[in-house]
Amino acid sequence: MQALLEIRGLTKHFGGLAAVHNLDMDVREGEIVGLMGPNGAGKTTVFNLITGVHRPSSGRVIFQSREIGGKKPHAIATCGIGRTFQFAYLFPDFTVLENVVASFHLDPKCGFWEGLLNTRSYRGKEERVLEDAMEVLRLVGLEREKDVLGRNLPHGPQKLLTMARALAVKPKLLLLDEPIGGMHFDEVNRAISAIERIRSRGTTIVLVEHNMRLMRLCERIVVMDFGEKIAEGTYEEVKHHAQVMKAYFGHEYVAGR
Amino acid sequence: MMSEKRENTVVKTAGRYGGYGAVIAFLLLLPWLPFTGAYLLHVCILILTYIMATSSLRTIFVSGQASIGHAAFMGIGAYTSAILSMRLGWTPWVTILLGAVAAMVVAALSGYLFNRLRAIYFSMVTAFFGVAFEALLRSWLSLTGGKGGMVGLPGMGVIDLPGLGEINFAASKIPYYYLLLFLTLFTLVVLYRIERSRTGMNWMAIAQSPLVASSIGINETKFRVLAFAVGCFFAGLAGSVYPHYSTVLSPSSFSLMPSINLVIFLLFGGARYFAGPIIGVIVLMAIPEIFRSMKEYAPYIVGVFMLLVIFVMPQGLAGLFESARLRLSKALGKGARDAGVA
Amino acid sequence: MEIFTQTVVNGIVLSSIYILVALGFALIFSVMQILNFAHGTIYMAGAYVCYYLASSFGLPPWAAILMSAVVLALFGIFLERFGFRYLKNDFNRTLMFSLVVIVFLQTTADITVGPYVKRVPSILRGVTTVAGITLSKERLITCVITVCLLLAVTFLIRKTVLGRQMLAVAQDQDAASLQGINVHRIAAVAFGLSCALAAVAGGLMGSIIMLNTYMGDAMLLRAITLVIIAGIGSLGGLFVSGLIIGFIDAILPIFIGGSGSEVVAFSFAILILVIRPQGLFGHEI
Repeated sequence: MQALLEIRGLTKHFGGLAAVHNLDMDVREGEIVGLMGPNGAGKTTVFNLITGVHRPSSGRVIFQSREIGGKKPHAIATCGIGRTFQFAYLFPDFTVLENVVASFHLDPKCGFWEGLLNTRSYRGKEERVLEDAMEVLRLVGLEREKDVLGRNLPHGPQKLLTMARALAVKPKLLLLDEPIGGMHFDEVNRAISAIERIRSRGTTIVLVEHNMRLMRLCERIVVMDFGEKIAEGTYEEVKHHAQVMKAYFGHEYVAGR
Repeated sequence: MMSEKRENTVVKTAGRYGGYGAVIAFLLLLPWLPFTGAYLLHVCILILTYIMATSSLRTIFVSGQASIGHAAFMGIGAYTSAILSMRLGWTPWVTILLGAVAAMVVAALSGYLFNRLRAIYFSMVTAFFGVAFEALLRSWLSLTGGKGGMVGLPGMGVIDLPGLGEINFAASKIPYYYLLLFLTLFTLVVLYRIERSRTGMNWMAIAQSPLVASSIGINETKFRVLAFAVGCFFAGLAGSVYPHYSTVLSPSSFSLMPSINLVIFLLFGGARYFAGPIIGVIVLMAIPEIFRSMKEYAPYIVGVFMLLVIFVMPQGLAGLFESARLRLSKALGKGARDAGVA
Repeated sequence: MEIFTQTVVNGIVLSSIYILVALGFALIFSVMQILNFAHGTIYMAGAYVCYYLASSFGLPPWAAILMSAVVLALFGIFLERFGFRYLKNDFNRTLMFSLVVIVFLQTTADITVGPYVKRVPSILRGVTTVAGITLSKERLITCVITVCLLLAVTFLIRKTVLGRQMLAVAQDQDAASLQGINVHRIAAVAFGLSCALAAVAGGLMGSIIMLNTYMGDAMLLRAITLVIIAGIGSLGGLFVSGLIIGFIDAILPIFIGGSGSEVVAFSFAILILVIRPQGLFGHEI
């Protein structure tokens, strides 16, 4: 069966440096795949390449059998890929609810003139958006903070909000970039429950994270270092992979073992 | 369908529809009030024109673009309407609209061209566009009359209302006042509706974070150009009516300083609030009038007011109302809900 | 031949004045990241103060220009200390504040001296003949003085400790202060120097053209045009773009009129902004 997302020979150069080099990767529908690697391994760059923030220097990105490499970010979001960012970017002057409502830009489609004339169908659409937004907030567990301004949110809920926002585009593929980075213990539990709920609704997820608890959720893990894939497999397989350990802990540690 | 919090303070304070009705009734009756003379009507016509121009500038600002060339688009409207009505003899009622459309088309084209510039570079290029346009007006003698401008522009003519008599625009300022009042209200209603709709929300999203906006599927280019085109349409409209009223037209009305004046009106009143332009224009136009006896020193007073806004109330006058209201409602115990749960 | 030489001299005069003013503007922008939109009006104020000193106190022209430079330098330091310092990184408020300064200066000029038809007495009057060509002495001396000043400023920036301190602050204010550089002092120097240069330019130009309270507006546009075309961070680039615009302004009006040459100059700036925002010589933004 065709994979949902196929990456073939993906390469990206910044100046003389290859941030991503010749990456091959498949993501099948319904999976949770983990993307691991030390800082600077190129994981966020891969996300950026998939979502159109960067253009690939070479290689292909194929989503649902269509080439998306090099397309603009908003077009890729329309195709059904949602993402969060490593830093919790959100709309600081909007409330939590407004942040999510704004993200429902794509569906249902609201036209310029409808909005201007405030037609009954437009109002109906906006009502539904409000309901959908509340549902997404419940999914990630933020419904209590719905009226808080984005910039007043503490860090943990901010990251949950970025997840909520990514869900609003009703993605088939969700890319989560360090979704629990910087969270403390309780918030981590909240986030993990949210991710599990998302997963149970059938969304395919690719996860970048350093935290082992999250990695255990993944069916498959791809490990990168210096822009290249160095290992792939289940959590157990990857844990004991020599190269992975060298990447994380350094040459001396592995030698000393 | 956005949160109530987005509702503008002054708009709310004006007291919903009851309040609006009173204000509109007052404005409609203004020409017939005892103290209203020709001069007051003239000032009102100016104020209304500036309100149209500044509110449309605000629409552009809402999408995160700071244009310092807005007066040039008024100029496009003005000269288009003037040339079409004077040289080709078309009726001003049509040419006014064409002026607005011309401004919108130029805005759409240049908007695409300037789109990839961010922040201050965008502002610079709009400023230079404005300046280049004004220089163009001055140099193209045959078309625009050059530095001297154009004179003898046709007025709005005479409208025959069957059974009710006629409206003669040449007879007094009153018909122009109503025309501008109608156009201004129309502009404000349209701009307000767009801003409160999903389009406006997308604009605000782009202004806050282009990166996030594009990650949720908002086409930055399309919406930026849309804001620019819509804003400049109404600028063109504002610009194209006034010359028919004053019958003269000169390039200096559309140079850099008038563009900057519009920005000042906007910032002084408060760019974050829909009523900001209205407050800004009225106050800044009123000051020189109030101090008319000391005409030479009026600029100093305006300057002092502006220093106040710069250093004491950077959110503009409308912002002052907003913080006053917040403090009031906090004192009355409604503060918790407004301030958010933080 | 005569017209040619005179035009060349005109081109050099305009170029060097433009560069002088643009240098001041670029200095403040590079070093302090502040856009001083009132810079053009400072230039105008320099011319007016010069006129005032020469006509009311009978100062010889060279002394009037010098005093004017000092006055405006102090004024610039005052503006930085009490105004611009608090408005950094806020484009809107900087614009508004600049406008307040412009309005104050223009109104004061209008009230004290009057809006039109004044001229600053020149340092050298009359004409001189060089190689059989008649040239105005005013223009020649202006060329000489501005070129000397430009060389002096270039020397200051490139070769002196103060200049290098300014470059350091331009790159990173926090790092510079950690190195022991007094950023406030550098700010004062930058503003003072910038305004002094503008004032001298005003005094010199004031002997060639008629004064009017709005002469600063056009000059500001030229200065910004120069900076846009040259790009940030390039001193040499400023010289080149100054020559380009100066000669455009000297030559084109003969063929397509003053307004026409403005259209060309400004369109060129727009072109550069759209195609190459970092300017012809600037570093990547």
